[in-house]
Amino acid sequence: MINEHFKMATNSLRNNKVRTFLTLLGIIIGVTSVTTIIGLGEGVKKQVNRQISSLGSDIITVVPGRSAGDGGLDSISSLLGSATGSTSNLSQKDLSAVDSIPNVSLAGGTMVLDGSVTQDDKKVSTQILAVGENYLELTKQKLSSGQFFGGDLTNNETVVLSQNIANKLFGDRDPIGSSVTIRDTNFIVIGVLNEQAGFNFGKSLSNTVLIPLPTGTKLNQDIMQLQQITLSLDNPNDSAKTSQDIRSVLLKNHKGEEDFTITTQDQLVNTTDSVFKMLTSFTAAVASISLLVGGIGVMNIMLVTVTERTKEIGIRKAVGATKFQILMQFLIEALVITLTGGVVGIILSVILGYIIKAQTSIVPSLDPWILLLAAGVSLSVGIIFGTWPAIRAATKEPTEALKHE
Amino acid sequence: MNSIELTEVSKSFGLGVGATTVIKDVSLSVPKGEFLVIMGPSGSGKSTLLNIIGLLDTPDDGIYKLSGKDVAYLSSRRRAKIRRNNIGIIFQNFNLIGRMNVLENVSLPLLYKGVSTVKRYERASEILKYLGIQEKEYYLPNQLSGGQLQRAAIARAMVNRPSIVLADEPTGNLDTKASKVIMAALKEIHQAGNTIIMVTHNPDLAVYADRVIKMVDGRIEEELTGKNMDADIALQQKEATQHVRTAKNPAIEPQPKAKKKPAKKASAKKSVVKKSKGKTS
Repeated sequence: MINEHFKMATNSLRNNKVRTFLTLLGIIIGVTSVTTIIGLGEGVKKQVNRQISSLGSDIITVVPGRSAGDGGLDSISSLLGSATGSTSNLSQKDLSAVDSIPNVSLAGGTMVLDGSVTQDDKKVSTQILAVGENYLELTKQKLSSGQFFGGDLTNNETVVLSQNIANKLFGDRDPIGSSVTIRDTNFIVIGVLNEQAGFNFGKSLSNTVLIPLPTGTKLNQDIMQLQQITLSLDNPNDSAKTSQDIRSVLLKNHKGEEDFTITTQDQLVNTTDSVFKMLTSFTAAVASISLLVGGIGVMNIMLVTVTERTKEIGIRKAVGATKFQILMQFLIEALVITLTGGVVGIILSVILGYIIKAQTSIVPSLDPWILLLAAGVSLSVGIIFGTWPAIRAATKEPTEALKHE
Repeated sequence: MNSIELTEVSKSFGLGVGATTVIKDVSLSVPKGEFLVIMGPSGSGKSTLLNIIGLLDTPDDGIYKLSGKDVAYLSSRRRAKIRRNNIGIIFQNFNLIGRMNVLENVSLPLLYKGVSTVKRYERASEILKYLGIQEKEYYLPNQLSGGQLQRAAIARAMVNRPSIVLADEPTGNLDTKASKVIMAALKEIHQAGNTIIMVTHNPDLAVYADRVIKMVDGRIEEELTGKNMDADIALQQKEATQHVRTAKNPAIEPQPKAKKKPAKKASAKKSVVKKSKGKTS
């Protein structure tokens, strides 16, 4: 019987091609936009999480400023806000204190200074990060050429450029060994960063130069204001306990004032997860308005169809159709529209995904569950918006329906 | 034994003071295999009575027993089931679905019975062949003549082998020739043992009936069977012929003559018709 209803529905829809196409269009646009947006959100979330986990699960960061809540947007913004050059209350003392905690294998501080790098007559505004010798190890960054601070280098006026800055200042020339000027001080370029590797907590390193932490302190009137302390652990499984140890040590240093935020990798992953979930849900909700409009279009057209076919309903009832059989006929007609729209929408969003992937650095993630969700949503739209017109059709009195012209 | 038994059945439309009673305490018994004709003027309630018998409508009051079972107030689902299995309905305006071909239209009752597509079409084709329009089975209704449409409608009514066939003015939209074909088909169906209840205005069609009931203002005013019925039919046919002749006179006869006498004659005859109707009722 379902098969027969399906045949009747497709026949009836074929009889009104333009009307069917326009109704379909509403559903197609709705499903495509919702699916694409969820796919984009998922894709970006996965990319960010991948970058975070590339650091390893043994990393804890401490940033100045207090997070209002446990996780959420605050901890993200405090992390991202750590590199704005604002005054900080994390000092050399704090760095040394956390370094001496048992489970901490490496501890490195980062100062953020604003300034510019000059080479001959070329000047580039840049973000200057003053970092410790263990920076590369802590952040899993790599150099594309040259070497890093420390080791046998005793000269403190050395700098590591990002690839982008190196290109801007030196073009095709090899910058290693050349001299650049930062805040009226000459620095020797000793290395160039490979920006593709590693991750710097949401900050792009393409416009960054790195200088040794003591030099940075010197440039900052000999005051060490750390915008971030990064720690790696011997035993990542104890990160919660170590995080507690860090907290008590810093509280002691800060006279009981908790003016810092400690974030473990797990927290960071959870936070980005929840932030992206929130963002995706919000944008998907906005996009689903178009699906709602599409659904209303289906309901509208089904009501018109029911009115147009009142006499037919009367005839069908007169020859023995039950209310349920009439209801199913019209409900299946609505479902055929929304499911066809859903399938076309899914195909379009997959195509759009490939286009976005080819044109941008974002890789939308159209997991099977998203596609199944889209199919489920279009089925639900059909049921929600097709039921009322179908009920109206089913409850028509046969004698009244037969009189309809 | 598909007998129809109506006891004091009433039906009105509208509510409160605006309510119009269409059928008042109608009691009627139709044994299996009878050809019953219901006659009466417009608004006399004959179509409503037919709708109630066909379970398309429910009475407000009274008892309707079909084969001994009370069916008047059953759920719509059970009424649909009885319609599907026991009753075939033929309408004056054919009521075929325009976008479906004849074969699909005729096989429709079997669809709701759950019969497979192949069997449905086989049976529909068989009945169309019997009614002589098999060659039109893939035509759309708008490609058929009135007579062919009504034969298709009869085929649809007969496709599920009902024991009761209800016909509401089946020849009302047809010319004489087509009417004869349709009535011949109905006669055959009746001879096969089916109960036929037909509503009509046309006294000529009463000759096919075993019994004629006349309805006026929602009541059965008269029941005619056997000789009574033949005499009444003859009288009505005569009256109708005279009525038609007098009505036609002004158009046929030369204009000058038509101005005076025929008009008077016509009115005089009309009053006779009314009088005689009054007598019979």
